[in-house]
Amino acid sequence: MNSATTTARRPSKRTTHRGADLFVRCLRELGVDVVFGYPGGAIMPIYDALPQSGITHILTRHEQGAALAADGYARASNRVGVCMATSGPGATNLVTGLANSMLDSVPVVAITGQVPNALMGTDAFQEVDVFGMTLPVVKHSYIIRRAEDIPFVLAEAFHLAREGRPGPVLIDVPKDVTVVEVPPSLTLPHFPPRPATAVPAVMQAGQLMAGARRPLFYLGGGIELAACEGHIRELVDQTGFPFVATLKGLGAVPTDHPQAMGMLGMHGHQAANLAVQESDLLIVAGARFDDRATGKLDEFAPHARVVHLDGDAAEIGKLRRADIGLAGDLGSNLQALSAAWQSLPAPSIEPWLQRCRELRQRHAWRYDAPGEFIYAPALLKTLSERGHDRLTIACDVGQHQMWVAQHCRFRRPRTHLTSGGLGTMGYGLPAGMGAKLACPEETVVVVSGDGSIMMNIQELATLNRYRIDVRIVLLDNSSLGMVRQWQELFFAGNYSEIDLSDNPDFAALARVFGLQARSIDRRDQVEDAIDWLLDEPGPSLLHVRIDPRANVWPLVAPGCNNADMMEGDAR
Amino acid sequence: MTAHIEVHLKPAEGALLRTLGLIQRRGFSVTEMRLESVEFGQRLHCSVVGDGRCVDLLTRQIGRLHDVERVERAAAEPWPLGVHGMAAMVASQATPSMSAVPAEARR
Repeated sequence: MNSATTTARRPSKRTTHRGADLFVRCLRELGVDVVFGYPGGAIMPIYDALPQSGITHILTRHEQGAALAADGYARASNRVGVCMATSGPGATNLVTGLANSMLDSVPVVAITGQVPNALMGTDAFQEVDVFGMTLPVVKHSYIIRRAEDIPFVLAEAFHLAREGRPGPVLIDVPKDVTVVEVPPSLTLPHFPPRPATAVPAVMQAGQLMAGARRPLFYLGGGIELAACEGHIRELVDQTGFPFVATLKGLGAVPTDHPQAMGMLGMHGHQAANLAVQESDLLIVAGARFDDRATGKLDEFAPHARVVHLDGDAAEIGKLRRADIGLAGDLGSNLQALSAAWQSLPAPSIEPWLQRCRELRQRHAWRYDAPGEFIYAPALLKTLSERGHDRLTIACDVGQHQMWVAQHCRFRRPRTHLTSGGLGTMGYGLPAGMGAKLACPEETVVVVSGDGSIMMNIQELATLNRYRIDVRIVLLDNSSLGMVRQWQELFFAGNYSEIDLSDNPDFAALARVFGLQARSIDRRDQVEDAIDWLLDEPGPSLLHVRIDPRANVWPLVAPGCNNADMMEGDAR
Repeated sequence: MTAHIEVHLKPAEGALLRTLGLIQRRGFSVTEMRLESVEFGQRLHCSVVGDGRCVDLLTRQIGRLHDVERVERAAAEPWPLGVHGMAAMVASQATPSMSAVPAEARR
């Protein structure tokens, strides 16, 4: 054996302080305890520095899993989620996750390795312009050109991810920056949060509320993001006004609150949609008039004046004119609105409250569906009730996502994790994984479908590797159910590419990955199976076969008025 | 209708690309632009057209970019010699020939 071979095999002992060491030290000092990622060539120096850092790295089996796990971690904990990947394909695999976080305003920092500065622009191996590619799907992004910029860039990136309207921030790190020696004296700068103040127009908003006869709160995901659920709950209780919630607003105020009208929108509660259409004042908090919530915008809430509170000034008046726009810190504005309300005479709205009670009674959910198949809404209701409000539910995307929103109870914020803006199939499993690592005391249940679960099925291996106790309910209708439903209703029953009847045996598949699993297909098995799922330590999977013809009702057809809701057979 | 905006960009990598990309993604076309270096960063003057789109909303969306120091709507065309200026100049010449006028000035 020659000496060169001997040298190559000997582990190197580093004594210098490299850019990668500084990078990882800064992450730790910023409070990062968990990073989701996947190593590769350009990011190897950072992975080399990780084991000594005190940061737990979760090796996902695909970079998209890492990005979505960071998103779930952030949503559940209100802390910044962190993911990382190497250059080229590693970086491009993060992109869907970043878009997901961007559209739902989730604070995530994504770190990508990059080829060395000198090779950038030369079509080097695994070189891709991830900075340029991700411009539309990040709140901000950086390429670190000099190692001494590492502390500033990291501190600012974490600040920007959380500050104002949260969002994902990308940091692209050329390899040469991570291998150069840097002085150990470099320190993190501090970015203080902006002072939160209320805007003067709050009193005018209070006056509109005091003069309203059919007022309604319209609550969105911005409330959870701003962690101001306490302020909105106080205002809802003080005023006695009924409220509706968007998909992402569920849980800001308990969904079984006596003033709750339910979720509005395409698959919203009929009572909620009708109340919006009849209201004369909408007090919109942390919502953005998304098309899935409003239906035909021109005919949305036609009699209502609008008070719009949002952390992002660019949302005020974007899609619906606001009579009073309150941009800025949502919590401060809600507090000020609460104070203004108390100084004004309360309106007489008893007839409106009576009307809302009637709507709720008339359109209450029913769970007595005929037929033999397991009725998914009833199963989800049972799951939610047996969970006794200690569940965090991470959904995938499709029919089951809407059934969860309709039939599960959410009394606490940040316990309903759902891909609202991007609608990312494959979100649920990695997001649930991230949520469990962020909040180990929670019982985390992933509700998925047979289409969605296969989008990131590889993350079952991650659950097993770290024994992350996530419980999965897999609703299997052997098809892409939401697409099938639309083809049935809007494409004359021309079923195109929705058949998944050749699905694998999901329970067997889960066992191969090291999970416990059960499969059920009869109604009389539901209660026992849910008890098993919730009582036995996981990770585990409950495979539930449901009617392939089941649809989500009600439904507002795309482009239609929210008052025109379609209803169909419950299966 | 054409609107004129002036964007003060911080000296940050990708600031120009990020801003122009946002303008286009929000449904506006950039019909004319000029970039100049200033003491701290760059100043971007541009004319934008977005049928049925709200320019004030666009300026708020530009304003929330971290790379943007500030954004303003300009009252008039910022060009020292814009399309109309070019046409006026040509018209004032002694023997103007339309073939000498740039195509865009003839519209």
